[in-house]
Amino acid sequence: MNFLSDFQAGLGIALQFDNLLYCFAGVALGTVIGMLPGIGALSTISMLLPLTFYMEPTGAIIMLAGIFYGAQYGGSTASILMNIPGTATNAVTCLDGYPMAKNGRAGVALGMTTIVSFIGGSFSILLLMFLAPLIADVAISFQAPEYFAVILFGLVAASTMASGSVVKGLAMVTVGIVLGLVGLDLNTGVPRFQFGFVEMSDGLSIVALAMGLFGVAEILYNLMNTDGSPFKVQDVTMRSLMPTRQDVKTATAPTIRGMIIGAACGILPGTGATIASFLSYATEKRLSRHPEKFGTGIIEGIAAPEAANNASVQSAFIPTLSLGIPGDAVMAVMLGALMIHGIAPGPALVTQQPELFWGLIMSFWIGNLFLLLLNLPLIGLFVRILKIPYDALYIAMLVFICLGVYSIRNNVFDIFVVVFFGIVGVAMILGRYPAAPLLLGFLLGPMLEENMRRALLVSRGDFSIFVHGPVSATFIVLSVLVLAYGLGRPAMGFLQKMRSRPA
Amino acid sequence: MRLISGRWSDTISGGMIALFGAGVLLEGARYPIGTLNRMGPGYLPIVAGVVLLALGIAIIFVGDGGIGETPRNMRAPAFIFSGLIMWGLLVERAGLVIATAALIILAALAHPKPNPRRVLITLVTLPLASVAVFIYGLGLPIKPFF
Repeated sequence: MNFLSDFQAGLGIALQFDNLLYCFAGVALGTVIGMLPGIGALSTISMLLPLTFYMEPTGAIIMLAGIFYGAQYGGSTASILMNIPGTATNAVTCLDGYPMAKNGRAGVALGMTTIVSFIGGSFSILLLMFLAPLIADVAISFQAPEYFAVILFGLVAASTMASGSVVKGLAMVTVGIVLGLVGLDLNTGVPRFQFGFVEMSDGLSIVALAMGLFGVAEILYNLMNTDGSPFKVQDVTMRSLMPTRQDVKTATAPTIRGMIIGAACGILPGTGATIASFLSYATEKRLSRHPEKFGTGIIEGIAAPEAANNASVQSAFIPTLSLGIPGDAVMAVMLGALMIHGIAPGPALVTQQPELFWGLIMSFWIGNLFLLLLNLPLIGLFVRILKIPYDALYIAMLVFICLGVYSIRNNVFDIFVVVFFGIVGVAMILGRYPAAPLLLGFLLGPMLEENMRRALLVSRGDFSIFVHGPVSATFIVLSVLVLAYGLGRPAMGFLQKMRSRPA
Repeated sequence: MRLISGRWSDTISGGMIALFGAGVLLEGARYPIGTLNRMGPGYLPIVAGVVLLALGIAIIFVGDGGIGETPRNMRAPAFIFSGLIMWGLLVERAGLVIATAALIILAALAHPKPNPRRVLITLVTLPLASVAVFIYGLGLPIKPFF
């Protein structure tokens, strides 16, 4: 095993001055936007994506990744201090975090969430270091049918496991696939869904799509639901952060369970940090000897979900880096970033771009250490960021969105694409349609089509090629099972409704 | 104020998805469908169109009921979108400063309680910062003025 030399080389790259700087910038920004309700990692990463075109790819990815996991640290702060989740993944932390703050234990809650975040994150980085190269090793022999099956499973899982209605999730994945078809067909040169716009022959820009669906829609949703009054925040001192020995003892087991649940959710395509945190909170409540105390401000209620969501965001890099298949929307945008930088994601990444692969992974250690520093001694400083008025913030975000989208190819057409998807995004929020499956469908759709074409070309049109190999057969069966489970419930509900209603 | 009830929003949105699916199907049918051996560019659009048509109809019947929270500030979308469109129309004609100023003013009006002092500050700082960073820093080929 030459793992050690890989780790060492990666660490060397991550410790280069530029990369250290990008890593710090990423996690610091991640903490800030994680804290601020109304701006999340996804919209920040898509907003910064155009800026990274001017950067070297490894540094760019290190920074963008830092925003993603940094936001998980920051997010719990708003949950605890204001009862408003900084990002969706920290929503559960409100349940016990805010009561803790009201009981005068805000400092302990903040200190504890930072520590368990670090533990959860570290666990998954270890998994990533050993698992990702192994998976990539196996996946290097994958052919078109295997890819088709894995991608199909990712899409099915993303749409059925997303919160809310399964039919709506599936519809959004399919809409995403259709949007991904826009532009010249690579095999035949036929323009599809272009309606005469030359600007669309390269397809729709993933940045414009993400900014419309997530950035603009998020701003609008916040504006539509605010009465304009600023948040109230209490100050936090460094002294108050220390948990008692009793706190540490009670939180140990929930933290371990949380990080295992989180790591599993991150690896599986379609289940992300939000589901991980809800699942681990529910698990703790079920296992607890005093479930009635949950919600009153107990330490187990914040330790488990915070360990889970950090473990989950870190392990989400496993399928992305080893297979080139993203498990959630943020990973889809990250993958888009790699592709824009001319790097083909996939199992060959480990061998072809070892400096990027190992440099990124080792930068996670550095980033998490930075975060520990930023969130423990400097928390008092960061808490003041919560006082930034939203009206100044969203205007700056809009200006940034315009400039970012325009700068990709100096074309105003993309601004109108943002407007269009902003409108679609708001409509989707109002109708409770999940946006993440759409983005995944958009990114994975073209890969799905390409691999399906190749597989069928090899088999001369025989669909059984998808169930010949053990890997593809397994994933096809899993997809069918997940789909059947997901669709089974709404179908049963509908049948029951029809039966109970006299005709 | 409730705009449309949850059930109606599912009927409308499901109907829209079904219509979109029908559109995809019709447009997809114009491309060569190919054979299974050699899938044409029309193959996946037709499949996706049929799936969307079916899912749209399914949502009408088994949707989860949309509109979780009733929006309070309905003028926000109008101002934000007109601000973005304005920026797109102006940036190449009138330059970055004027386009950004127009966006800021329109976007500020989207807030339920615009704060004149802060809007004024952003009106001075943001166009300056964007010119500095994007035109001088990153060399974006747009003019600051006309």
